[in-house]
Amino acid sequence: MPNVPLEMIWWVLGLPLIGFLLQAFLGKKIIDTLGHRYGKKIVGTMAVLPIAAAFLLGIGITANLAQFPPGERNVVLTLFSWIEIMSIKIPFEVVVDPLSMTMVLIITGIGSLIHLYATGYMGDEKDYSRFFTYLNLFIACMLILVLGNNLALLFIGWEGVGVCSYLLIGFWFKDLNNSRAANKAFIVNRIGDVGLTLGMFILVLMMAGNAERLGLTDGRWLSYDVLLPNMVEVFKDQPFLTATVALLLFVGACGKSAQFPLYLWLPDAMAGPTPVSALIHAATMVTAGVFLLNRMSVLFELSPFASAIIAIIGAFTALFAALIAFGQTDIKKVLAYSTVSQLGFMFIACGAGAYWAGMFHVTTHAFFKALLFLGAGAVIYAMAHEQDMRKYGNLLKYLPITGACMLVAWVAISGLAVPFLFGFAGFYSKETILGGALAGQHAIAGGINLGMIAGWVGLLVAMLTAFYMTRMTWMTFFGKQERWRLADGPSHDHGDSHHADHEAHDENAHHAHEDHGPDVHGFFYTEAEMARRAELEEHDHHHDIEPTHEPKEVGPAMWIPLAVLGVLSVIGGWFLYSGDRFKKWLYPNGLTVLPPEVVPKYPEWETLLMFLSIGAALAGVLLGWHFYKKGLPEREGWDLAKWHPFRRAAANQFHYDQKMVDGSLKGGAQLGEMLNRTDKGFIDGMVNGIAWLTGLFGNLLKRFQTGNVRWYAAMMLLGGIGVLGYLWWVALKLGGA
Amino acid sequence: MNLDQFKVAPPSVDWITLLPVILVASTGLVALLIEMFRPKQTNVAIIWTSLIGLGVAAGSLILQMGQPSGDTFAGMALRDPASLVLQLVLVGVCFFTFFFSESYLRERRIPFGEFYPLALWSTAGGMIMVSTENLLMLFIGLEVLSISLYVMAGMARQESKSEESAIKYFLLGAFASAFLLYGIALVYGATGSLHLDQIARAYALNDGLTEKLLIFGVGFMLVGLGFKAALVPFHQWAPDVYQGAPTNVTGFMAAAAKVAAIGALYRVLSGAVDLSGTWMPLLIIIAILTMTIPNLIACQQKNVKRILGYSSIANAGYILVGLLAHLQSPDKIGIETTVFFLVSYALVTIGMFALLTLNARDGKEGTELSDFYGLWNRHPLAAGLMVLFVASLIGIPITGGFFAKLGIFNDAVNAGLTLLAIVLAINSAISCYYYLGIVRAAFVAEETRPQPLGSTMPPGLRFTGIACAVGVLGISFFLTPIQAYLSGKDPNAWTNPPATASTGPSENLSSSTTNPSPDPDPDQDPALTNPGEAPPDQPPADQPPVAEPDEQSPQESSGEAAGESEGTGPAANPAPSR
Amino acid sequence: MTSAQITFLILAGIAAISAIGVVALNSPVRSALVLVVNFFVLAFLYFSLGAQLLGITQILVYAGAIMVLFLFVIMLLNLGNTNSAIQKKDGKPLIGIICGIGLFGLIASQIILPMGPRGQTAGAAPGYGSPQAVGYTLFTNYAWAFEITSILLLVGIVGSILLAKRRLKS
Repeated sequence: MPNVPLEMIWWVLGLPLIGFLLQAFLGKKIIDTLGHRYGKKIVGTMAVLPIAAAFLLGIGITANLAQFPPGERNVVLTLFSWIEIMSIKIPFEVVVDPLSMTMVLIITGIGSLIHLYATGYMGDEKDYSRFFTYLNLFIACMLILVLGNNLALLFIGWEGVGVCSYLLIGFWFKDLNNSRAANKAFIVNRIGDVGLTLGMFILVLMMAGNAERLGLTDGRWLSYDVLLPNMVEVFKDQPFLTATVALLLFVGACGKSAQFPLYLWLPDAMAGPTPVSALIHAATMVTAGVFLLNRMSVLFELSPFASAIIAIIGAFTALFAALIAFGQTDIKKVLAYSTVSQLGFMFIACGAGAYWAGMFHVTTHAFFKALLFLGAGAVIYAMAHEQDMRKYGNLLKYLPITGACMLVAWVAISGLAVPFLFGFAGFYSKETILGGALAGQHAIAGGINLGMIAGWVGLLVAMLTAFYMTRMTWMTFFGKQERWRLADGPSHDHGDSHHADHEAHDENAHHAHEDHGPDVHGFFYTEAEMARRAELEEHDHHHDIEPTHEPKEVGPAMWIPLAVLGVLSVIGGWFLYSGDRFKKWLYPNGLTVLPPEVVPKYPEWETLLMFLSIGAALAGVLLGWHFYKKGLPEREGWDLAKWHPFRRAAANQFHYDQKMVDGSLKGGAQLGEMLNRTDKGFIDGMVNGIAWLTGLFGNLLKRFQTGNVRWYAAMMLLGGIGVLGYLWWVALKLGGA
Repeated sequence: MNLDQFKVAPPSVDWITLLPVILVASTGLVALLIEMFRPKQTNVAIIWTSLIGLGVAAGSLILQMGQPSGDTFAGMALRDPASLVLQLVLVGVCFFTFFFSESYLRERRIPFGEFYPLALWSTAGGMIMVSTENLLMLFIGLEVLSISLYVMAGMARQESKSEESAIKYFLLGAFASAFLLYGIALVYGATGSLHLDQIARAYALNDGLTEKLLIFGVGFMLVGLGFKAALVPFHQWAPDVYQGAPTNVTGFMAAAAKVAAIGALYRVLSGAVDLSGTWMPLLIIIAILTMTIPNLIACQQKNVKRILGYSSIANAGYILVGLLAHLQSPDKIGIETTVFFLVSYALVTIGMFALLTLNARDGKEGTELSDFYGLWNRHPLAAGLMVLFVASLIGIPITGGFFAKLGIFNDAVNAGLTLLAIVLAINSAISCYYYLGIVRAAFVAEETRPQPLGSTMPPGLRFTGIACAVGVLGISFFLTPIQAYLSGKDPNAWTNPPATASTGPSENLSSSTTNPSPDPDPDQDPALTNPGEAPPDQPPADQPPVAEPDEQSPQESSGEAAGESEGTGPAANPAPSR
Repeated sequence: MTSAQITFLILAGIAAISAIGVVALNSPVRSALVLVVNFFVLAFLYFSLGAQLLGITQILVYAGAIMVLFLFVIMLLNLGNTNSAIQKKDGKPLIGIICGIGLFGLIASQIILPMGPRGQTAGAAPGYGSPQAVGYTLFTNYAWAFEITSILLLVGIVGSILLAKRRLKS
């Protein structure tokens, strides 16, 4: 490995950007001039190469960084000074340290694989270059997010990936569902951003207020190398403020990483093309929240209360999403909820103080979840865009490579392992998370050890995870029924779980009168428009799988990434875990407050935990196998009335989504009503009064705008006389003096 | 009678300083010639010629950056960071206007090839205005700018609205020109010179009559320039003219005329800064009115062009605040925030008006708010760009508008003009109402027409929109480098207008001021030198920096990121940070 | 009386009479023609004061350009001998008279009691303001302004043609 200088990091950042610009300005031209066949090949290569090159550079830089002594693996490089307002300085600077480089490798590595995959998956797409434009831009933004050395750059990247995510979810924007999902993702993320922004502001204020005391002459208060070492001093003896800032940042992380109150957007985001789901909504962007928590870990370590909240929210999300996954019939939806659930695991780790375990899970999860999504994409591709698992079955026969890779991923996410010998990727990371949480050293609120509780919940969720993943695998790849050949499905059931939601709603008398048709999430569209657009969609979107369909294995551009990810899912976890490689890489970063021996401490019954966790995984797999070995059970068939009420509720996200949206749209009206009564006199009056006053003045002033040129001239003259009269007065005064 | 005594040595001319204006003006001539011989169907040749000419002019401006400030041609033309940047902005405005104009003019059925030369000359006029301290040049530049604009505003001759706006603009503009000219005459009477730095010298005589003449002269000039910049109470033409003129002309007018007028106002006021006791209170009142009144009226409007007209008046008020803050304490506060605001404003304005042209079809155009309903569905890109521009106009973080407004707010507070800062903040809040109305129209409201206006997004328009959007985001990204250049790392270049060395107080019409800029005398006038000012793309050996680093003010030392500037950008300035 | 004074009195008398004629005559065309006389006499006054260039400019610009424009407009509008403007009783003549007297008073007051220092400024050197002198200045120091003025005129020409030329068939 050649010794790549750290300065090459600018190329890592720049290459995707160059790729983006090339795609944006040349992509369409190339395809138009060279034709689809060759043009797409060139454009695809142009899209993959910058990312792959960035990855190779990233490896070199990481290797170089690894040769530094452990305490000095933190290099800040400045390109130029960006903002200097008042005494705040925000340069455009990046930080090269183990954390950022880990993320860089994940982003560019998984990113280039998924780009490669997408050249195959999107091969029939008309807007080929638009897709890669967005995708390259996403990589660039994500790199800014992780590499930026200050919170302002993080915020730029944060918003940038948000925009790319929005654009890519709504990539097929002609379909109303997609633009609706994109809108939802955008709006929900903005809620999180409010928290992040507020947190940043308070941090700046705190730093500014303490600058003199700490002797900080450098105005780069948002830069990590200034901010983090001073965090302990700044927040000394202010537990309330610490918790506030920490929780505000956590709200931001919740939005991006789809944690409980704000997870709503992620399942809907599956409307985007599958490579997007794999890259953005599974492997990279959604882990930005975990990254933020890691980056600011000093702050969170200072507040056990906030950490406890984080741990318990993570645990709840993990459980909640895992339960919902049982009710999903759309293969991508299952994976989406699984992602939410796994992100919950990462938050448990961060809350419990085992930050490196969180990052470890980010890494392994990137391997196997990207693999699962890409595999699912391959299945969907092979099945003529049918996403309903109820129409799958026995696909291993038709898709041997994809199937084999998916099985690897299934083992990895389930956390199966041979005790003391070898485990797949998911096993190690999950185990370290549970170990960290059950150590129960950090996340303590009000005397209750929420971290410990989160750990036990996590163990339960591990079992559930194995269970629903087995369900998915069996429904898709095993069983002798090839269900798309059966004619018992409804004739035009598409939109899948959306539709399922809908039907489930209808049964529920309580909700019946509120039902808007499919627009349960509509933020922007009125009923009339929904109806009109639904009609238009009907034709485009209608693609039922034919009973005579013969699934075919996908091309090499698609299965090569699968194979690579498969290998990583097998050995990645073992490689990083053995000899504590990953832990030593991330720690010490010189910034941790918790004593290093506490952070990743295992309970004494480490061995027991290992058996417990393997046992849970095994139990889940066996349960799944028991229920689904015979194919699709009746109670998950097309007839929703036969579904178990629990599963029906799960399919409906336990009505949480519905309630949230209703709550924010209409249910909020109840709160509003209440507030209205008390505040009508005051706040309402004030607001209306201001509006009225503005209107009054505006109207009054509008009168002067007669359109009559003589009048204008007269007004000008009056103004001129006023000006000169005033000056005359001044001149007289001067003359008198 | 011996006429030899009136013989004047020809002034030395630094052609490089004049080059941009010459390029733009002669491109106009070439464009006019092409228009005469062109095949009647297409203006493509004109456009490309113009674009190339503008590009070369922009290049000549960029290459001049980093060269020492100074004036040439007997003080008629001036080179300093402000003049270069503002000229560049004007060239850029013209450039982008041309990109989206052709498709629009064709849709509106007013495909006059003359538009292009006129716009070029107009640009040249504006460039002259911002790059001179000579009142005669200022006036001629203003007239070249204005008369072209009058004609362009009336270009859509089939429409009474366009003609009305042209005649209105013309009559009121002539009225304002009279004020300006009268003011210039009075100043000439007081100082015996048309050069602005003579005001200070004449004022220093402390002669009662001269002082009165000066005060009134500056007052009259304020009225004249206030009209061009659309300051309240000389603003009333603006909404009517903006609404009536063809949209591309409106965009050009809103950006170019404003930049030029503010540039001229800056020159005049900083020339008359010694008199600031007289006009400062007046301009504070004008600034408050200019910010407040249009914002209140705009809330009532339904026409997008009109709303933007009022918005441009309000923006003039914001800019005026920055200008006043600078003039209130010139050694503390540089002009760079104001220039930055102008750059950001020009980008947004051009982009915004470019997007408005989307609604033109078959000779008709819809500019009511209701015409933009459902834009999101028709043109997602246009709607997205519109949101960005509106965000910049409101001043939402990360856009250029935010940093521009914040900078001016900050300046106002630092200069002790807290009242203006507060009014600015309040008005920003008020303006959200009508700006968001535009967004609402584009995004939320439903299409009402059975057949929407406008068809596809022409490539030129797309380019303009995207380029402006990139600019709006980009300038905020390169905020500090831009401001570092503008402040020239040598605040003197801004605060003391580079004075001519040889002019005396008794200068009259026939005396000459010759000060060739390439060889400034550092001992006499430190303001002419720019120690350490060399952008990275300019080899510093080109002009060996005159070593006077001790002259630097405290701004200089705070301008450097302490010890972190090992990057490649302008931060790697040869000038040491302390 | 010197010959210069006699010349001045004659010219001033003609100027005053023609000025009254502009207001008093009913026919617009005659009014305009009398105004031409007035302009010429003013130009002669300038000549007699040694301001040749000013006189030439007066003739060129006022008598030449502006009066021709006036006459064009009058003839195009075909005003003839209308009395309507005068018969209409409104405040305009009164305001006009007041403004006129005010202006007269203002100028007279400056002659009698000037605001600024009187008679202290030395007279201009001989030949000051002569065509040659102005020419020297105009084509050296003010050459740049001169060139830009040509652009200004070009803009005026192009603009007027653009606005006035035959309507396009749409």
